[in-house]
This record gives sequence, C-alpha cells and structure tokens, in this order.
Amino acid sequence: MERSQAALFDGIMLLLFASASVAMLYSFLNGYGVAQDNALRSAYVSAYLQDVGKSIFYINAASLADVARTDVQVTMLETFKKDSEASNPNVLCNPASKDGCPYADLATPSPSSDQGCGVLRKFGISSVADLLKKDLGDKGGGLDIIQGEPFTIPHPDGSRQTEHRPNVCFDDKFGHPTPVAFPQNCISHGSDPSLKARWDAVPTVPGKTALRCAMKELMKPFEQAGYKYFVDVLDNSANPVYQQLVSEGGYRITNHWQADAEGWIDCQDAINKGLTDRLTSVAIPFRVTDSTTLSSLDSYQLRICIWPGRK
Amino acid sequence: MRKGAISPIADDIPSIFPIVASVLLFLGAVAYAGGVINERNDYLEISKAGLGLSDVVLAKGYLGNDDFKSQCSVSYTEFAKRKSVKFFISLKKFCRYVDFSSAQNPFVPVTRYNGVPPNDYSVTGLVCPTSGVVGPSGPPTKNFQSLVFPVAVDCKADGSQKGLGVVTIVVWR
Repeated sequence: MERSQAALFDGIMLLLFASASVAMLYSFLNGYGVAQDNALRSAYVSAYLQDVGKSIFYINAASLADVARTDVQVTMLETFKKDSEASNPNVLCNPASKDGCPYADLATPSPSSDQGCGVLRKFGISSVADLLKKDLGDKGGGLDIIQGEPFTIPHPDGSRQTEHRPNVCFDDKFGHPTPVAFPQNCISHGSDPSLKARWDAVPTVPGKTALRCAMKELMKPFEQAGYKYFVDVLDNSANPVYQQLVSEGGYRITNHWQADAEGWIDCQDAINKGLTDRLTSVAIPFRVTDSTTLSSLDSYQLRICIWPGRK
Repeated sequence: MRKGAISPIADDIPSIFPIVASVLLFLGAVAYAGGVINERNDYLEISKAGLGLSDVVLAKGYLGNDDFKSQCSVSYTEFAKRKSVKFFISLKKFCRYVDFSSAQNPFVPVTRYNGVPPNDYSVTGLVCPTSGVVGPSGPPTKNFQSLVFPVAVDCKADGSQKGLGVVTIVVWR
C-alpha cells in the first residue's frame, strides 16, 4: 500500500472510531438520570400517600359532609356503566352476589346524588382518624368480634393448625347484634328481616365513610391523572403469618370499578399476583384503644395503594 | 523519492481531513454531553431539594396559620439556602373540598372558600415567602419542580376546625 493511502486509511479509521464513540456517548446520555428520576418520582408518590395518611388524623369529619362526585368521576362512572351494560351487566356490581354492589359510586343511580358523606355533618370536631379508630375499637366484651373464616397457621415444627380468627368489623357500626356468628360476618348481614332490623339498630360510627369521603378529595390529583386507588385496614400482628385484612362491610374505599386485564385486583390481589412493579403502597401503623373496656391496645395498619389505570 | 509521491509531508495531507473531523466530532459530542449531564444533574438536584423541602413543610400533615408563618422565615428559608434553590410555597385552604384546578397554579389565590366566595382573600391561603422571590419575570418556566400535597388546615381563625387544604411547593435555581 502506498504511504499516502495508508495515512488516509488511518484517518478514516479514526473517524469511524470517533463516530462509534459518539454513538455510545448518546446511548449513555439517553439513559443518564432516568433511574434517579424514576426513583424521585416514586419518592414523591410515597411522600404524597404518607401525607394523606398523616392528614386524616387532623381533618374534621364534618368538613367532608359535602363531598360529592366530581365531573371526572361522573364521566368515568357513566363510561363504566355503559361498558358493563353492553358486555356484562353483572360485572363487579351484582346485587345477587356475596358482596352485592360494593361500590358506593355504582350503587347510587343518579350521578348527581351525594356519596353518603352527609352523615358526617353531625360528627362535629371528630377527625377522620377518630372515627376510624372508634369504628375499629369496639371489639371488647365480644361487641364486634365475630368468628371469621378458618385459616391455617404453620408452626416451626412443620405442623399446621386450623383456627377461626375473630373478625373485627370495619363497617361504620359500633358493635353488632348478638348472637351473630360465622357465616353472618361483617359483609353479609343475612336475609332475615328481623336480623337486618337488629343490624340497623346498632349505633352508627361512620369511620369507614369518613375515610372513603376523605380519600375522594385527597386522592383527586392522582385520580385525575388516571391512577386507581384502594384503601384497606390490616390487623397489624407482629407475626406476618397472622396479619390479615380487617373484614369490611358496606362500600369499598376505591375508585377502581373495573377489573384490569389480570382480573379484579385490590391491594392484596395485586400483591398475590406479583403485580407489585406497578403498585405503590404505603402502610400507616396506628393503635386503637378498645373503647368498650379501655383495657387493650390493638395495632392496625391503614394501607393505601395506587397503580396507574390502563383506560 | 518514488514515482507518484509528492513529498513526505504532502503524502499525509488527505488524511488530515478525517483526523480533524474525528477530533471535532468527538470534542463536540463530549461538550454536548457535558451540557446535557449538567442540565440533568441540575434537574435532579432541584427535584431532590423539592422533596426535601416537602419533608420539612409537611412534617405533621397539618399546617396551622402560625406554624406556617413562623417556619417560613426559619426552616423553609434555611433549607432552601442550604440547597441553593429558590422556592415558593402556597398553602390553599379549601376546607370542604379540593378544587384541583385551582390547586394546580400556586400563584393564583383561591377564589372560593368553604363553598362561597370569600370576603377576605387572606383567609383562603398563605404563601411563603410573601414577597421578593418570584420577581418581575414571573414564575419560573424552565427547569423547576412543582409538587402538590394534601394537608389539613385551619378553617377557623382559632384553629378549632380543620379541613382540606393543598400545599404546592415550587423549587427552582
């Protein structure tokens, strides 16, 4: 090869190397800071949810008495109703099912009707957390302990023992009519009219309604951004094996009316199905003094989880 | 000298062009990358400062009028000074609902209060700092962080009634 040709070849090779380096540099730049940005966004969501959990300890329940559906919620609801009537009229809201229609937003026929938050007006200066604790703090003296679903406890020696764990009802009620036992749990009050009348006679402590109405307002920014939320209460046993959801009666605290592609999901379903990559969950621990006996202190967790909706 | 050769140096002249182009391309790319990295680092620092400031502001989940005013000149300002950022915090008191469209823009006061138009705009919210930060050019339009959080606020002057409020924290350099 001529010397001049060799020099030209070297120059072109250098240009190729430089181009390759620049391409790698751009590739590096493309991903630079993305992981940190995602982490910071996730930190913001967690901070927001933690703040929701903190603020309910101060917000007066009575100030939530006028909470109603937003225009966005009305639109979402109408779309959902149209979809479900067209394809499957029983989807997620079937009065004949065990849970009936567990969504306050779907159970009321008129989009302009209130969400049942008006009941909070007479609860003066009680905070949302006060009512929540009162709702959960009625188990002493057998007031609100109902034998729940059987479950098995694994022991270190490998054996399993079946027990009936008592359900503490998170149901807007202070206590329950006696005697009521499994399967007449917090959710199903039975079809017997006299039993229903006795349930209706149980004093109302709208802890669940207060939390639901508070969430409607506090989660607005994320709801308008297309996120779904679900709120539940966990029995915060020190041993995770014993930890379980507190049984719910009445409406669920969610804006999630339609099953995702993976099927119906709430927080627990999402965790069980391994969908945690899409889920942000914050658990706020709190303790409840038994209002009836003042002799025991029970630990619970308020769990708020959100995930981006697909519609 | 062999046949066809011009001179020992002139033979290398054609190779100079790709060499110069390579060097310019590489240096240009490095300079550009440096600029991009600096800008992203700046953005990440601002984001971190915004989250840090939100921790300071929302330590309790409740912001009383007196708390907000006293902490504004102490904790919030000190934190921002330490992080070398400018900030603007707006506390909007809606009390009975959250008007998110109004909450989105921290620089516009709440126009309705407890469901009725307020007589006194000072009761619908508080800002920190009260003057001198936003400047004549208005709010920042580039490379800023805006974070919205819910908070419990005083809905009566004596603090006996607490309702829904929104804190918006804007941070920029």
